[in-house]
Parts: sequence; structure tokens; C-alpha cells
Amino acid sequence: MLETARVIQIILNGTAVGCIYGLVALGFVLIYKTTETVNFAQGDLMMLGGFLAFTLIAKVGLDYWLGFLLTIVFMAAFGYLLDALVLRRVIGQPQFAVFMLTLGLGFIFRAAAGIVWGYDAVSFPTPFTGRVLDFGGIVVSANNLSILVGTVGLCAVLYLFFSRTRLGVAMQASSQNQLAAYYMGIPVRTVFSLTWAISAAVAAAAGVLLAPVALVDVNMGFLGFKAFAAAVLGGFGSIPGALIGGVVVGIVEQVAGYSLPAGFRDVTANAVLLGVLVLRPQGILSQTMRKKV
Amino acid sequence: MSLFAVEDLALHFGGIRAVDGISFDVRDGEVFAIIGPNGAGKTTIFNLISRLYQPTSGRLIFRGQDITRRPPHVVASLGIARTFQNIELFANATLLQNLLIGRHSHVSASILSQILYTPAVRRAEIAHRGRAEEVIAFLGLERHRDRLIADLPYGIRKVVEIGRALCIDPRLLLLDEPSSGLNVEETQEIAAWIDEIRGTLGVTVIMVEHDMSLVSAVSDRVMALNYGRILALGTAAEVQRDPEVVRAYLGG
Amino acid sequence: MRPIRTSYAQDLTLLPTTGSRVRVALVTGVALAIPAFAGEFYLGELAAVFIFAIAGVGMMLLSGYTGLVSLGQAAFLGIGAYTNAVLLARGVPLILSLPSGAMLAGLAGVAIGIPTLRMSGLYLAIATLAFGSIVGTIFQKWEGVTGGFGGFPVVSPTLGPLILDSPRGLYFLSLAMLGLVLLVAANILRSPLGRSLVAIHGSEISAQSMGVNLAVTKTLSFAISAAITGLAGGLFAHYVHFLAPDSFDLVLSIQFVTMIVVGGLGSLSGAIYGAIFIRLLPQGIALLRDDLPLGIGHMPGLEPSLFGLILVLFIIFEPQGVAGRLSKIAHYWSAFPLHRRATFQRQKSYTRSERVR
Repeated sequence: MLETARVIQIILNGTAVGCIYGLVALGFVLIYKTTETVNFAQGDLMMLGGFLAFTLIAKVGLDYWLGFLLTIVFMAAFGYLLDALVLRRVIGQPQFAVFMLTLGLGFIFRAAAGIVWGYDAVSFPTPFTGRVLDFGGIVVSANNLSILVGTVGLCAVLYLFFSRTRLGVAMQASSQNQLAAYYMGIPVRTVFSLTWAISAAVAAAAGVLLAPVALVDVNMGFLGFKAFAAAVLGGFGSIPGALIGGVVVGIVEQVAGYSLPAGFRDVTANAVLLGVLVLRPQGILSQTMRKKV
Repeated sequence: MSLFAVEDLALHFGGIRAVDGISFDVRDGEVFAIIGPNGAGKTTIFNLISRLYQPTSGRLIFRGQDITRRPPHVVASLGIARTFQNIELFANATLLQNLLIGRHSHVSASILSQILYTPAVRRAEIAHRGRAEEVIAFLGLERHRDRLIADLPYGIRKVVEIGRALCIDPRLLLLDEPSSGLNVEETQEIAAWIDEIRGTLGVTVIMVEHDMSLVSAVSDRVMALNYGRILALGTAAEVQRDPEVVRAYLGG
Repeated sequence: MRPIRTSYAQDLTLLPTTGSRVRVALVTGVALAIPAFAGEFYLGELAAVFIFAIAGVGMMLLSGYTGLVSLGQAAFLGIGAYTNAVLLARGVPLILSLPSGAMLAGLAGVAIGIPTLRMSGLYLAIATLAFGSIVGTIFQKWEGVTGGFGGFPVVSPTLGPLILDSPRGLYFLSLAMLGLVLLVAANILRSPLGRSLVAIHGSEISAQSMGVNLAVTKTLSFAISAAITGLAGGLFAHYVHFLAPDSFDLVLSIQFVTMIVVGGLGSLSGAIYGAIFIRLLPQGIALLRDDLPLGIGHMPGLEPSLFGLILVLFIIFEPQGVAGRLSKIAHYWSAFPLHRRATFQRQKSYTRSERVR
């Protein structure tokens, strides 16, 4: 009985962390699908979101929900400008250059955050802080529950956006075929910027949800590299895939942390990633087509 | 005498039969053209011959040897060279470097001797350069020798690709739409070269082509395809008269 | 100016023009003369520049020429460093331990090269990143050999007249190794192997249709790159004197990438410019630290942010790096006053898709 409870506990904790991986992975996937760029700074956008929420909620003293909302709005605007001012300049350069550009941006974000917010980990109060729910021996912190609910809610909103709104459909079209979308009168460049805006917003939400569990610090963004594993597991092309991948990585990590010697936990995500890539070089749900010659 | 034979070749992608049981043979020294509407499976046959695709069934026989299971680089070294529909040159290398890549299957030096750049490697390199220069002279590309492919106009690139294939010293040359994107004069030039490649160099040519004037001008035999199957096979005039072919083109 | 060519052999010469011979002779002369007047500290830092340049050449062959992105180069450096240090500690002479480090790193290159054969672009970058982090964990956890987080002290022996314990000895050894590695790389690039690397970068499909064995060539590229980086690692051990497992992490791998991008992808001299940049920037910041206004010099995180900023600026404004910029300047003067702005402009392709391969 105790054992079962323990297992469920591990799975629940893994799912909560996994949701965060999933959200960051979602940002990767959105940007990759639309612009064929991998944003290595996705984790750092999450970090910026966390710090911004800290300023708004803990410093300015805004209500948690208002602070949450404003953070998302600000970060979306930031993402939009990032694409419009920086990334648009490198369209047409090799993929490699664009990787490096986002890596460089990550460095800048980390350093800027260090200068503005310092290098100590910070936190802010949430309506859930310290509250614990007990389901017959299985203890779930309200913080973890908020991550689960927040992730599901966010995904529902995104799903409705992509399937029901004109803009969402236009974005999907651009991700299928840029040139065709352009000819159909879809403003592809604006769509790119909007994709960045949405990705930054999702990352910010992940940062705010994660903050009470893991604290916010400058190196929070390195979590983004684990989210890669999630995105790859999900095939780097599908939104549900990214989330499922995230949850799988989260659970595997928790199980590894429980059953392997200390220190191996952080490497499991990468081991899973490498294993998957070796077996299926294009990910589980492949988005890659063979080049036509 | 048959240089190359295809026996009952098929390639299925899921339910789609891209190539559906095709057999033909190509005689030594002939120009063999493959025509057909878009999506008929012409380029797919090339990709099967150069082993980029794995056939679902059937055999490929080149000079009496079964090459159906050989990897692409071995097929090249056996003497089958090809060009590509949308030009697959190495854009950031010079024309000369592109041609020298064509000599790759004739390289015998070990990696270690290449790293040490032994006198033998140097001599071999000079010989390869000599061969590449012959091809450059043959195609009249001297002016562009040291220019990057990225800087060359489309028409020239098309010719460079043929040159690179010739550097393999092939027995069989596969030309995938040699005239696509070219104007009338350039197409006539291509026709003259195909004649010379067969006549002077003695290379057998299979070409996929849409331009019927080029096909009629240079080919000995023509094979018309549709939906992965052979509609007709014969001289250019015969095939053009064939009612099935007419129907396929006019969409009857 | 390029001389008029009279034989094919002329194009195969490494230094075809008088100008290039003079330049190389000058640089070599200066490098040999520096120890006569420079202090030990600067010699040590210059040795580090040479060591990073060696690693840069290794990475340049893989990423700059073959077009295979690696975010795991730090792992190869670490394998070379640990192998060299561990063997030295067990009494193996340097003349064997240093090449052993390179060999083992090369084998690790094969180990990551083979499973990633079918990957390219993004997936390869991620796979090598994962590989690097796994190797990093092995450095931490294999305490019996590497000493784990406790670190591993490096024995620095004497090699003939060279006392490796001193920056001066390391300076000469690193300089010699850099010369050797540059020669090897230049030979590879002018031989068929080098051409096939460039061909794979250009188009894998047509490279194999031209007779290039993709699997062998890509694996070889990984192996050579890793071995060269491992050699740099062995020397690096003597520079740091003490190996800590977390010094071979992702940040170092990213530094290597920055190095070749800033230096100039697709040119061997770019690896050297990049190494100079990446090793001397921190020194420059340290020198200016007290003179900068508003206490900017004392802000924590100044160095990584400058790295990031410079990387971003290079990719946006000079994707061909320092080497590309220098060749443009050289062209400007050789064509003066007839320089055309358009000479180096390339058509951008907006429909480029690397998802389709």
C-alpha cells in the first residue's frame, strides 16, 4: 500500500515537473514548426518571465493573477520585438548561424537578468504557497497542482487558437509551406513574429508556474536543455507530442532520482534523448521529409 | 548488346505505386530517353538506379552485375554517373573543386597518406586535375574554372553538373531533365553535347526529359511512362504516335 | 595578387604566393621571438590561445567544412585532458600519454559519429549536446579514475629541454602542436578527403552519387575533429594544472562554437582568430575593468554577456567572421579604387528548408 502511494507520488511529482518541460518544449516546437529556427534561448525566456513576475508581484505588490497576466503580456511583446528586430535579420542564413544567434541571445538574457535582478534565487508569494492537498495518503502540493491545471488550461487555449481562429490557421499554413502561404496573402513575417510572441508567452507562463516550486534564478534557463529531450521525444513537430514528451522526461527523471545514486538524475533526460535519437534519428513523430532530387 | 537492364522494378510508398513493375534494357552506346507527364515516376527510376531509393522488388543489372543492393557510392564507382533535376552542386566550392569531386571514385590513396600528403598523393592529384581540365575544355568552361558555383548563372551550373558527372569517367550517364530552365540556344547546346558525349566519349546516356524537340534530336529510343507503368517504348516518332501516349499527355 | 599559374602542381602548394610565405614566416618568427621578452603570465595565456586554436581547428574541420554541428566538443577536450593526466600520474611518459588522449578522444568521436550518421542540423546539435553532458557526468562520477568533484592534479613532466610545469615550456609545446595540427588540417583540405568533406556540406545526396562513402567520411570527420580536440585537451591539462569535471561543460562547448563563428566558418585562419578573441577578451576586460565609467567593469556577468553580444553581432553583421572581414578588406585594397559593394553579396534564399533533406 505504501509502495503504491510512493509510486503515485513519484509519478505526480514527475508529471508536474514534466509539464514545465513540456511547456518549454512547446515553445521550441512552435518556433521550429513555423520558422525552422531552434530557439536555444527558450529556457532563458522562461527565466525572464519568472523574474518579471517576481518584480510585479513581490516588488510592485500586484495581485498574483494580475501579475501573471501582465508578465505574459510583456513577455509576448518582448518575443514579438525579438523576432522583428533581431531574428528577421538572419532569415536565409544557414540554420547553424541561427542556432548560434539564439545561443548568444541566451547569454545576453542571462547576463542582463544578473545585472537587473542579481544572482540570488528569488521567489514570490502565490495563492497556493504552502497549501497541501491530501488524497488518502497521496500528498499533492497546491503548487504542483497549479502547474498541472495551468498547463492543461494553456494548452486548451492554444488548441482553440490554432484550430478556431483565422490567425491560428494562417500560422499553421505558414508552418506547412512558407512560400505558398506568402502567395496566399498571409503576412509571413508578421506570422513569424507572432509565433515568437506566443512562444515567449508560453515560456513566461512556465516560469511563473515553476517559480514557487524551484525558485527563480539566472541559471533557471538551463532547464531548457532538458526540454529539448521532451521536444525530441515528441518529434519536434507536434504540440501534444511536446507535452507528452515533457511528462515522460519528468517522470523518468523522478524515477531515476529515486532509484539511481545521487547525481545521475540530471543525466537521465539526456540519456533518454540520445537513445531516442539513435533509434529514431528524426524523433518519434517525424516531421522530416526526404529531400526530393 | 545490353549495358544496363532493369527487371520488373517496383517501388511502393505505402499504397502508392510510384514505379510499378518496369522492365527495359539499354544498349551500349545508345541515348535512351524517358518521357511522361509529371509524377509518372521518371525521376524515381533514376533515384532507384543510383540507389538513393530502395526498390520494393525487381533487379538492376549493370554490365552483367546485379547492383540492386549496392550502396550509392559503389554504384558511382562502378561507372554510373548522374545529374539532378534541381542542380545539386556544392555551392560554396569552386567549379574546379566540384569537378574534382567527380574524380572521387578514382581516388586510391589511404587517409594517412592524404594527411601526410605524400608525393604519390600529389602526383595523383595532378593527374585528377588533368582529367578535370579535359572536361573543362570539352565543355568550354575555362572562364569559370575558379568561380564559386553560387556566383554562376543557372545555365552554366547545368553544364557544370554534366561536367562533374563526366569526371567520374562513367559508362552510363543519367541526365535528369538536362534542358529544364534553359532557353532555346542553351538547349541546342545541350543536344550537341549529348551527341558528343555518346559519339566522342562513348558514354551511354539515359535521360529524363520533357522537351520533345531535344528528345527527338538526340535519342535512339524513347520510353513513355505514366503512373509508374510503361505506356510505349520505341523510336521517338513511334512513341509520339502511340495512342496511349497521346491520351496520357492530352489527359483523355 | 595571385601569380600567373604555369602548372597544376602550383595550385596544390600550401603557400602559393610570396606574400603568403612571408606572412607565415613573419608570424612564426614573432611567435618564436615572444618568449625572449614576454613574462611568464603572458606566455601562459598565449599558450592557452594556441591550445584553443588547436581545438578550434578540430571543430572547424567538423562544423566549418563538413557542416556537422557539434555542441559536445568540450567532452572530447575533457577526454583528452583526463586521459593525459591519468596516464601521466601512473608513470606513462608524455610522449605516449598525449597521443593516447587524442586517440581515445578520436574513438569517442567514432562512438558519437556512428549513431548520429543519419542526423543533421538540429538533431545532430541536440544529440552532441546530450553526449557532452553524459560524458561530463562520467567525469564527475567515475571517481576512482577522475577523482570526481575532488578534481585531479596534473603532473607536468619535463620533455627534453621543455619544462611543462612552466608556461614557457607549455608555450613551445603548444606552438609546435598547433603548427603540426595546422599542417595536418591543410593537407586534409587539399586532398580528396577534404573535398569530400566540403561535398557533404554542400549536398549529401550528390556527394554519395559522386562516389563519396557518406558513413565512412562523416565518421572520419568526427574522429579527426575529436582527436585534434583531444590533443588540445591534453595540453589544456598542463595549462590548468588541476582538472575539475565541471570545466568541461556545455558553456565550454558553446565557447568553441563562438570561437569558430567569430573567427570565420570555413577557414583555418578563422580558428586562430577565434582563439585569440575568446582567450584575450577576458584579459582585455580585466585590463579595462577599473577604467570603465559607472562601474560597468565591475558588474558581474559582464564577460558572458559580451561573448553573447559579440556572437550576435557577428552573426547579424559579419556571418563570415573575422577571416571573412579580413579577406574583404584585402580585396578592397587590391581592387582599389574599383571596389564594388556587390562583390561579396550573395543571393539570399528565403525558401531554404533544412527540414527536407
